[in-house]
Amino acid sequence: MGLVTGLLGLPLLPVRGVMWLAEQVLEQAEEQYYDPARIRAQLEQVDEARRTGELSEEECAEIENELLQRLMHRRG
Amino acid sequence: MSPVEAESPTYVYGLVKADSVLPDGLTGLGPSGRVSMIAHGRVAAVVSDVPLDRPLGLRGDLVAHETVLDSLATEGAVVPMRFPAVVEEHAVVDELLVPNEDHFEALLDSLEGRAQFTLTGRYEQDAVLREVLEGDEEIRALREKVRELSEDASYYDRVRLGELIVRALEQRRETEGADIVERLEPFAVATVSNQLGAPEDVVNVAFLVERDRQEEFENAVEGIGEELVGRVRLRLLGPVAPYDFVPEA
Amino acid sequence: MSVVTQRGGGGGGGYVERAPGGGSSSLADVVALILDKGLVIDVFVRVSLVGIEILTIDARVVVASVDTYLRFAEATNRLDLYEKGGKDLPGLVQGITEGGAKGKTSGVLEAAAEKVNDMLASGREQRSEEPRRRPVRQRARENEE
Repeated sequence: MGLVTGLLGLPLLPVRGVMWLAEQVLEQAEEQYYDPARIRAQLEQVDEARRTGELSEEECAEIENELLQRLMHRRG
Repeated sequence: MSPVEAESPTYVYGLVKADSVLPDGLTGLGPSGRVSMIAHGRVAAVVSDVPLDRPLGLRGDLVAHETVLDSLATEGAVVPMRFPAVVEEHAVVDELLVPNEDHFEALLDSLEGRAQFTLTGRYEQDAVLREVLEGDEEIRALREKVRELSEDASYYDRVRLGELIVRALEQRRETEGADIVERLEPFAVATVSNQLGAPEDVVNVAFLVERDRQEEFENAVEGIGEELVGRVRLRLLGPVAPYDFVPEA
Repeated sequence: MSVVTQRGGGGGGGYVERAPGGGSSSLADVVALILDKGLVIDVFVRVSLVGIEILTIDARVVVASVDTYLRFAEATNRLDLYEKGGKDLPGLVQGITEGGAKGKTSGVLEAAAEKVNDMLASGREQRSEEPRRRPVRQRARENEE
């Protein structure tokens, strides 16, 4: 009996915890997706990659335009 | 002056005094690549044609916009438009310049002989994390705890640890950032503080600096950079057109 | 187009990275300057004020995410203080730029780097990195008492 209560009682907390975190992450995901500061940070990263040669100019341009579209989209 | 055409979309980069001379080598974002001026009274708009086969927003468009403005800024006062600014050709005079000539002239006067610099600074990650750890027992203890546990078991503790560190960084930068700005303010006529994007950002401030104080200002920044070496990495953008010092409206 | 940034300004100590602006600006700089600043053509008709004001641009609140917290925890863990050894925690991300003279890439950009790599990998076929809609939220609400 104790076991059943235990089984019933226990999962609620961690599950709720995980759900809550997942919720947070999802909620923030959209904000982050369009967050200008984050997009700027990503642009900086692309720039760094261009400098080190990690990404080719073409690849950089492609990603940059994608990021720019996100920025413009936000401003709608 | 070209004849007024119906539906001739015109890109506006910014506003200058009507007696300005455009510098050579300006390249617009339109198919012709040409940049010209449309004047009315004492003010003028710096304009070009617009690409018609695609929407604006490619990297090249943005870069062209800034390049034109920064070039104009080296010659004299310019009021930058926000990107993108497209109007019909006749509207440049009728709706932009005519109703606002006085205001634009006043804005231009207030910007004459002044350039913008934007200072950004970031913490050197390891150095500042060491400082935070050394200065905070709770954080040190939590770190110890986390190191003992497996990745799964330590999940919530790691989130908490990160949270505490971020708080500590935010507290630090509030003072350090303000300090940096305070030391540079005397060299500028105006400052604008921008939103900081990441926890390790320390400062992001635009300074409007008189031409004849520019060198002093740069030296002062360099001096602060030297003091902060190893802890904060400073970056100075400029001189550029006064983007931050123009009211939206 | 490579970014031209030089170390060293007037004083010649080289402690401050200089970005001269104009055509050599990085796209991140350009974006920060021209998308949220400057005269807005729609509203100029309402203009009446004169003079330079101190403005606060961008009232958006940036909330640090769980993601960010974990990254800092990770970075702190990897810090070698005075102790040697200790647990070798699996790296959360693989930075695309390793150490080097340029200095350690700021931790926060590592995740961006990973994303950049991901974007490349997913490439042409599907651009969607868009967050999925929220059925989970509904379910969570129902489960909670």
